[in-house]
Amino acid sequence: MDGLVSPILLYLGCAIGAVGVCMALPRKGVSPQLLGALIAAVGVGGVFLGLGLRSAENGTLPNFHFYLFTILALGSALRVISHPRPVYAALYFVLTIVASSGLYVLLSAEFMAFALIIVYAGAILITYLFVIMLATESPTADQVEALAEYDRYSREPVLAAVVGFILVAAMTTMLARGVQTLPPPTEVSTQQQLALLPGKVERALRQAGLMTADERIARGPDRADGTPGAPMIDLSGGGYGVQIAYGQGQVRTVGPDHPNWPRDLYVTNPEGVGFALLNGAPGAIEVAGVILLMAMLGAVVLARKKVELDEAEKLAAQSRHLPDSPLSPVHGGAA
Amino acid sequence: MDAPSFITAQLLVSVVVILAVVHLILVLAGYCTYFERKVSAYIQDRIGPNRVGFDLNLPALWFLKGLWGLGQPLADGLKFMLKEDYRPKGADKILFSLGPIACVIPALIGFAIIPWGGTVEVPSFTIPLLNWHIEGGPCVVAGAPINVGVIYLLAVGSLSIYGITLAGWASNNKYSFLGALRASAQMISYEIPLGLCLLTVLLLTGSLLPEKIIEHQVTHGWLVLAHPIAAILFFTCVLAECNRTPFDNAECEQELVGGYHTEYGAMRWALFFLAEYSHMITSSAFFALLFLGGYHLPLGIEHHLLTPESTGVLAMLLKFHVFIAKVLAIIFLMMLVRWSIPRLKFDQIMAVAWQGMIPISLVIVVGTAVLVHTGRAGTLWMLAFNGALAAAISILLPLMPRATSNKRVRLAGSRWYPALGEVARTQSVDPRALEDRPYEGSLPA
Repeated sequence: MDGLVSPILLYLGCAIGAVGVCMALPRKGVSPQLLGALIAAVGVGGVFLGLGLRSAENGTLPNFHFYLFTILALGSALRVISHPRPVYAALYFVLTIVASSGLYVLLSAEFMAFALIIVYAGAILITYLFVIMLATESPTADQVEALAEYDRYSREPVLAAVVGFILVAAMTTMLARGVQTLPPPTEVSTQQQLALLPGKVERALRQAGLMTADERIARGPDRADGTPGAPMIDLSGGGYGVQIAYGQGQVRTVGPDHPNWPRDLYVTNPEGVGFALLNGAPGAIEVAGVILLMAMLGAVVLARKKVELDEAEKLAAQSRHLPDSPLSPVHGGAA
Repeated sequence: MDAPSFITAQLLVSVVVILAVVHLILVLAGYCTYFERKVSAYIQDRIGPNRVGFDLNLPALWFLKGLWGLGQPLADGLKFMLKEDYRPKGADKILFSLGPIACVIPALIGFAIIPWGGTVEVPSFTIPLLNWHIEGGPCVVAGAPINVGVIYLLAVGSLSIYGITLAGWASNNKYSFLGALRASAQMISYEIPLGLCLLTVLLLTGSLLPEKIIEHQVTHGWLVLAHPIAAILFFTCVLAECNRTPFDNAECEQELVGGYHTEYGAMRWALFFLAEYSHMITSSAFFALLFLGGYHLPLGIEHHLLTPESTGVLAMLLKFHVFIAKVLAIIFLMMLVRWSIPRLKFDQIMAVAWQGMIPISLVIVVGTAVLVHTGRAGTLWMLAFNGALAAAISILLPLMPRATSNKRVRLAGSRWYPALGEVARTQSVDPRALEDRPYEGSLPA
């Protein structure tokens, strides 16, 4: 079975896909676009088949929605690069974004899915659309002949398809076989991450009646700098649960095996994203923030036009321009 | 026999809610036009629609005649359907039709996460004939109780720009396109303070789920009390996102004829109208959810049925009606605003968003984050913070640099004011200065 997804099959699928995309791109003379699209579909289908068979070994065959979203995303991506009219290409790009966010939902990364829509479809692509609409002809140009040449024909179809599909081949191979030199992704269970959210745990336990008003979550011994230690929460599988302090230094333990344990106590998707970003890569976030700030400042500098003439100065300037004008800065109207 | 795994009690509740709310929104959108005309008539000291009843011109139905003009939306709808479906020459065929559709779809799917009736306890039951056993349990009375909650509404709202932009461009009309450009620039700008105000709410409630946000308000008091400034900013953003006056630059009659829907008529135009009013309804529900406690009633009139703990059918219906009543009240407020406040100029709209609302909402977010982090998340602390912010704004505002455009100039003595019998000529000093167009004329004698 492993032979089926050997790189040869993936490479073959990618090669067929490259030929298909190359044919689907518009060029001068007769271009077999539809045939190209079909061949591309066959090639991509081959890659899918390989990956699907691979995952079938693990018993995790993707469901119907996966195929729907994938076909939508890839098909509209092909139309982005092959449509002669830029406005339609941008709209197909939006469709690609929406379909990929559907794929994120299937991976239960809902926050990523909707962030993708907000950022890409809602802000970036609408700005693209602006520029395209302002720069291209009005929609009267329904005939393809009336379009500009750079819109009608792709410039380097062969080179682009080859380079693109070499990248795809490398990536799918990595996906199918895994990379030995990279460390495997660390998987922190959402229950373990709850230890980082003592406030949330406390609220949930109070609401479920597992903690009374004069109780609080126990904390570990004080740190060296005098601050109180970490809250005693260990919800990883086999952990002790939550230690609750009450009275004069007495401690009792409540665990997930308690019958009243709140069912909705888990780390939600946005919280997981927040942990991954702020615990894993705080430096990158700071750098991204600085870059965005620089972009904003740049926009302000570019957009700021200096118009500081006062009304009196304007009049003075005008009367200098028009020496015979009856208007003077101190003219008071009808005298 | 077991039902297919995707048929759960939640799915059945969701289907019922979707059917009920979509129909409610469609009918309400129609009657919103009626209310809009009645409100405007009241403000302008007129009567408004008062002729069309449901008598269909039949003498036998004389008792349905008149009825305060309640049949007007029905007559309008019929008129839209019977009018000619017109498309201007040179318009892009596909996009011209896609525009209204892309406008309506986001407006009609946004309500999905609003928990109209809180949570309802569904008992286990068996569907007859099919003999499917459905496991009961607590179900959220919403179209789709999804994990990221309010983020979904932001995403759907950000997609609603496309309809307007496409409609404006595809019409092959410069006025339409200008209207569309203005609308999109405005909506993108006002999404930022909207998101920041939402972030403030999320910081306080600690959850993205609408049910949790309402629960927090039931126990801690409505958020409009804790954060009045954020509530006002949010309401303003909602007006701008709905393209309502004073933010209706997309369709200002004096400059752009009808804006993006100049070239539209009949049912396609009606779809734009439907989208606007459904957008209003969804946004009002969103505002009620975030700041007005959702289905909760405060002070003396709070009832044990209106708490998250009561999950009966009666409680659900009561909550639903309270929610709808709040939505209607907010819509009424929007109409009052529309007929009382004149439209802002486009540069003023942009200045309000970028120079006013975004800095203020940023300060609110940072201040709330600091207060929440230091454990001072109570309503009184938030109120104190809001008061301090209002004081700081009123102190700092006169010290801010003044805008260099939009200055009011006294007419007498200005270059626009010729002396009696004299011919005044002005010429632009700066070739880029549009307002200094050559001018020639004299006062009428």
